[in-house]
Formats: sequence, structure tokens, C-alpha cells
Amino acid sequence: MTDETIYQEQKKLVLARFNTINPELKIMLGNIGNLSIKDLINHVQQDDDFGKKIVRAQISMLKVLTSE
Amino acid sequence: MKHFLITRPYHDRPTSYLHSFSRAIVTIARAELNLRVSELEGIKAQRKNLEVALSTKDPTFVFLNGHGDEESVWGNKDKVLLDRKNIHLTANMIVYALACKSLVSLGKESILSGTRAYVGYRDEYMCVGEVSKSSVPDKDKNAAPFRKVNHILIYALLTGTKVSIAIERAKKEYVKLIKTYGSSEDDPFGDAPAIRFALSWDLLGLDVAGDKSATF
Repeated sequence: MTDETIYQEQKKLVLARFNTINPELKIMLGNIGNLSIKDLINHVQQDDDFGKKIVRAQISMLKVLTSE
Repeated sequence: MKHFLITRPYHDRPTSYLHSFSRAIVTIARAELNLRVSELEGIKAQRKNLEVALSTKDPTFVFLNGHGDEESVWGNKDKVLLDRKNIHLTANMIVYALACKSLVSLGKESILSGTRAYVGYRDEYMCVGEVSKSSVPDKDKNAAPFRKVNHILIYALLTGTKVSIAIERAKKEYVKLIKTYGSSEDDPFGDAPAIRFALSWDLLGLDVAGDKSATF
């Protein structure tokens, strides 16, 4: 499995999880201001740099949740 | 007597939350830790005031709260407080910047200018508040885990814990909260998945430049 394939799978997983959260919930992100879950989903879907960081953090969270 | 300098602007929602997070440590620093505290709060969080405090009051620990970017940390109304032009004033001090991204460039620059250790975030600092516009930072349950980690870190640093161990304690608390946050009691609105995500984001971003064994 290539890195790109793994990333695409991770992205699907992240989007599936975000789709279970209240889309209007706001996250305060320093200078950027308030971002809704809907905004986070858009960044992930657009594959921009911020979206890639979101995927990385969400996968890191899942690793923490599944570690002992 | 050890000297602790803190900046606490509160001109918008994010800085109001940081201002709230640091309220307890100011009280503890004065009343329990017997530190000399210089507090640049609200409109006093200005570059000129910071430079005077750093130059004349000889603090050995500096805690900056506010917005920022890779090259600077900001104060009241997002005016630059600290950047490469005045970072030399923090020589021989420990700096903790609860601000976005400043570890990336300013943190490195500070060490070259003689700062002992610069604790900060590589990325934006993320926090989740309650959706209600009337929510007050002091009473916001969604923000409680972010407040808690920050308090653990700053308390450890102010009580003379090595920088590396203080960061380790904060990271352990991030992990603990990611694993445990979300019972019905502490998550009345079902916001836990977003809170755990934001905690993971902050966990990845927290780090230090300089001497990891530095102590206050």
C-alpha cells in the first residue's frame, strides 16, 4: 500500500468521524478565528495544507485512544 | 525573590479565554509561591511596557499569552510584543508562549540570542468553547480541559520543575484527557469528539527550544 493510498484511507476515516459531530460546533484557532466542524471538513476535502494537518491530528488522536 | 512576568491581553474571544486560563496562576504565584509578579494585563500588554519590564525588572520567567505567528507574539489589539528585534531582552530567561506558531521561528531565534529555553507551539493553538455566544470563559465547560493542561504546565514550570519534565507532564495530561474526556457528566452537549481532536492538535504542537534541563 502506498503512502498516498494510506493517506486517502485516513482521510475517509477522519471525514466519517467529523460527520458525526455537530457541524456548527466552533473551534477557536488562534489568529484564524472560529472554525466550524463544517469548515474543518471542507479543508480535509480540499486536501490543502491545513486539511492535511487536521488528518494528522485526528489520526494521532485515534492512536492515543487505541493505545494502552 | 524570583521574578515572574506575565502578559494577559483580553481584547477578543480567544485572548479572553487565555486571560481566564492564567488567572489562577497569577494568584498562586503571588500568594503561594511567593514570587514577585509583574502583570501586563489588558491594554498594558504593549511592546513598550514589555521591553521596560524585561530591561529593568530582571524577570527570569516570562509567560506570554495572546495571538502570534511564526516570528512574533502579540499583545493588546494584536500589536506585536516580542519579535526578533527585541528577543535579546529575554536572554538568560525561560519563556513560555501560549500563542500560535511562535516556537517555529521566534523560539529558535530566542535561543540564538541567549534565551535559556523557549516553550511554545509549532502550530496554531486550538481550543473549544461552548457554542452559546453568552458563554463566559471562566464557566465554559468545553474549555476546562485546555485550562487544565495549561495550568499543569505553567505550575510545573513556576515551581522549578525542569522544562522537559514540565512538558512531559502536560503531554501526559493531554493523553489522559483524550482518552477519558467525554462522559455524560463532562460532555453535556456531545462536543467531546471535537474537544479530543483539539487536544490532539495541541499535543502535537507543544515543544521546547533550548536547554531542556532549564529550571526557574
